[in-house]
Amino acid sequence: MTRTRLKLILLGPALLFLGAFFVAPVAGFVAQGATPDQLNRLAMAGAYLRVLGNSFVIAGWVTLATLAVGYPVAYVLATMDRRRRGYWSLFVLLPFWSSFLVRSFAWIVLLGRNGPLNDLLVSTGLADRPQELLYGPAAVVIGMTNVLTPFAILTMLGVLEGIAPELSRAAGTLGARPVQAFFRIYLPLSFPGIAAAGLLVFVTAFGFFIAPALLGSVRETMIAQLVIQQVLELTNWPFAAMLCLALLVAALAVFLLYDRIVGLSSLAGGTGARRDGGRIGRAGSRILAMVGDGLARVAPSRPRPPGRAPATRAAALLVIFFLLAPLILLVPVSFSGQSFVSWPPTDPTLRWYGEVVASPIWLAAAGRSFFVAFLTALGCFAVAMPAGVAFMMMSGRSAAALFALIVSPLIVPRLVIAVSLFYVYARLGWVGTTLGLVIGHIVIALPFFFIAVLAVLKTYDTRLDQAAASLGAPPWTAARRVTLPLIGTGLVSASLFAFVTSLDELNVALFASGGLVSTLPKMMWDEATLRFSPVLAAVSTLVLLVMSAVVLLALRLGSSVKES
Amino acid sequence: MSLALAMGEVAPRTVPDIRLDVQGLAKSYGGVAALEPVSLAVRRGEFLTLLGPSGSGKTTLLMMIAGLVDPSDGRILIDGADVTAQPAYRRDIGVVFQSYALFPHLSVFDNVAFPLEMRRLPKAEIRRAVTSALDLVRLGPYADRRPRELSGGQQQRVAFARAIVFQPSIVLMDEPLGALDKRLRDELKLEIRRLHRELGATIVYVTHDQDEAMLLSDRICLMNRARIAQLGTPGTLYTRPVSRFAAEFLGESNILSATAEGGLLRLADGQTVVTRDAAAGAVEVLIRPERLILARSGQPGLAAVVETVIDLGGVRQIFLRTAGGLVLRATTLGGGGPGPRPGEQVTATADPADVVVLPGGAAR
Repeated sequence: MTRTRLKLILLGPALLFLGAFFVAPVAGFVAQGATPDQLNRLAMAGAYLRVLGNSFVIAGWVTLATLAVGYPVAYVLATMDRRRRGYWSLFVLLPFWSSFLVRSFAWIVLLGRNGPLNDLLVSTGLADRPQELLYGPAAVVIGMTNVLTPFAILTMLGVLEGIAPELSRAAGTLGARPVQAFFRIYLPLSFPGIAAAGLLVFVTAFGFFIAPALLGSVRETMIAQLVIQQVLELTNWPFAAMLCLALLVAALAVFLLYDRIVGLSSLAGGTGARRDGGRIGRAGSRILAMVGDGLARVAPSRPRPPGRAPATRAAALLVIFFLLAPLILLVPVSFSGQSFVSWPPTDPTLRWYGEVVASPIWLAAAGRSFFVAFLTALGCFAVAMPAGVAFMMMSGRSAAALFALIVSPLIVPRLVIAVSLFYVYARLGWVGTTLGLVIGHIVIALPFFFIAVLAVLKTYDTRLDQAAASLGAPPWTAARRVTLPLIGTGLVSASLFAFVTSLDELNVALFASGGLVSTLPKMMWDEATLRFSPVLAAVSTLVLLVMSAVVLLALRLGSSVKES
Repeated sequence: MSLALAMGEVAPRTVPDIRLDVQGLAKSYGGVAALEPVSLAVRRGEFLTLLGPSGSGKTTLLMMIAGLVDPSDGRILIDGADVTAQPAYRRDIGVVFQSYALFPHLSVFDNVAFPLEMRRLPKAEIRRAVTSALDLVRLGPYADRRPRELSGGQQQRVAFARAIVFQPSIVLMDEPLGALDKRLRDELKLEIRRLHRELGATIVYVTHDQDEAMLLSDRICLMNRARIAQLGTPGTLYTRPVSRFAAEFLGESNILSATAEGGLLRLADGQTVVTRDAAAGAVEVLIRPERLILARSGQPGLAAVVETVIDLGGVRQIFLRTAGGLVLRATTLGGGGPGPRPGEQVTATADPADVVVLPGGAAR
């Protein structure tokens, strides 16, 4: 068998799957929107334009806030020694992988009229009575920032870890004060990371509907909500397609920019940092240098670099608290004796947990979610594992193209994927079927799984197979005795991440699961849009526990691979 | 009293000739000593090498001098002024890092200009100084390149230019040739030697490569197990090592156990050699392989049989076994006839001046 044929066979499943369930549905669906009629409709109706403008403004604010809040954490993590970094980054990874939905719910409690924040404001005398913090642009931005900051931190961390610590030290020996070294050396070098995080956060925020729907008022309606409304309430397919096209174009434009600045391969852990940004980059560096010099002149001389400065650390800790707050504060609410959500919770009770466990609807949803997640993990393995092996055999342009194809579901807003699949399912009669859900979840989880698998395969030295062969092991024995023991845990870890992604997936289920056959996130979403009850807090706490356990296990297995 | 003074090689501290004075400097991490208290003085314009195996404390010492690691104890004086509490950016010391630590986002020119900008020099002066520093390391035409567009050897030279352009009082170099291949290392060694001569800079250089240390240094500070093992000129270290460690770390060596009997040293195999050194009781004796002279058997000296001959072209390495079973290694120049053959009976002798009694124990 020639190498080319082997590669084609290995690539077959991935190419067919993505072609049939991603490329064709999405392209086919959004193409319907590309008509002058629909464009006119968008342009004529001021309400729609306002939503579009809203989405831009909110996503912009969220991006700024995320970067401002995330950078200190990324900086402190990147300048820590390796062991402590591994420990502290858990506090970013856990919120990153824990339920989007649950974290957004928590802000309803946190910012609510009787919530802990109002409690704090009143008791410290900053306000004389509880303020309306919910249902405004601030609540939406805070909620989205909270949800997206871990994402931004991890993106920036990838670049910041690559900045050699000697550079700041070298700047010191050459006469630069710590502030100067930071502004002249460290910050310019971290720019690709900041830009990448900013772009990714922007494009994700732009297609968001959970936070604006739960925490905002009608005035904060975003484009994704409009899509849902057009599909589910008005069944206006062509116009929904037009809106999806707008989302898609915005996303693609942002990713092209990302690729220009950092390079998509950096997603797979490759070294990014391409060219400096030309003239603009140089002008920016000069401004930063001037800022640094100015600060150095006014700042008291400090013998320690800012990474170890207590102020930076305190800021980072504060941000970590902000990230964890929704997770921590949901737990007490689930034990509250009141039947409405209140703060502080009183009369501790297990009543709500009892209700959940006794409810056939919740149990059915949970069972279905786990089943779907399990099948999703299996499906990802079947589709992406052969492609990963093929990827390792490829190089140059074809490898880059394959990588771009398999991670492209990450680039297309999930909502667009979900609506496109819904459109196809509606005609195939797959709406409300487990198969439909699993296929959608595989498309969405595939990029995460593929990236994790590549990380595992990259650490594997293929010469070990050759060594096993030279020592007399036939291929299957070599795979069983040498290859699998070495990469097995890494593959399990990758599958767990696919599992978690599926468990928290709402978009596909929003359209593709109907009536009694809901998934857990869909049930939670339906509940939350009606009323946030302690039952929901109990469910959220349980979901959080399960997801955290799975993620911790996955991280543990993943890191044991890296160490060996 | 420091070992350096005990050796009588350093002028008393009050003489203004001393640029760097390290007094009782020590570092420990969580109770483990990375460097035991060390005292060391470096003269103006001197090239001093910290030589030793990894973990000997040489890099820790260098980083403390640079101000990048805080000492646990001791003082650092530069030109008589205590700089122990000064942060790196106030010390006026140029450092060449092992990884070069060139700023990847700045051009070669801007990298070298960086220390001058920190010192707020006028633009014209910066341009002149940078240009002349780059010319000195023969990189004038590369001023506009980025560091990653240069070869390893060129990057190394940029790092050097950047470390000397602001005329620091001391230049520290941390294994600057460690990342390069052997051919380039040999070339750059000579380059560094030339630059030191031309600039008259005071340089403290860290390496684990004895050839580099021998070629470059005015003095070598040999380090082992977080202490100074010996401090002296390359010649002294080679010919008069004070310990087994020093004898074995620099150059090839035959180290033999012996007992002093009057002016004679009786080896473990019962034969005797003559030394000029004073000795009493059980001692260890060093004879460098190239100092062993082979003669036909029957002459006075150590009777031995040739076991193996390795012809390296330029030199021959000959392994001998004495009548009493000791293994000796001799090095002779190659060429000039076939040389000794395995199995041949020979006599090995050495000048009494080349039979060195090691005063210290092996642990020193």
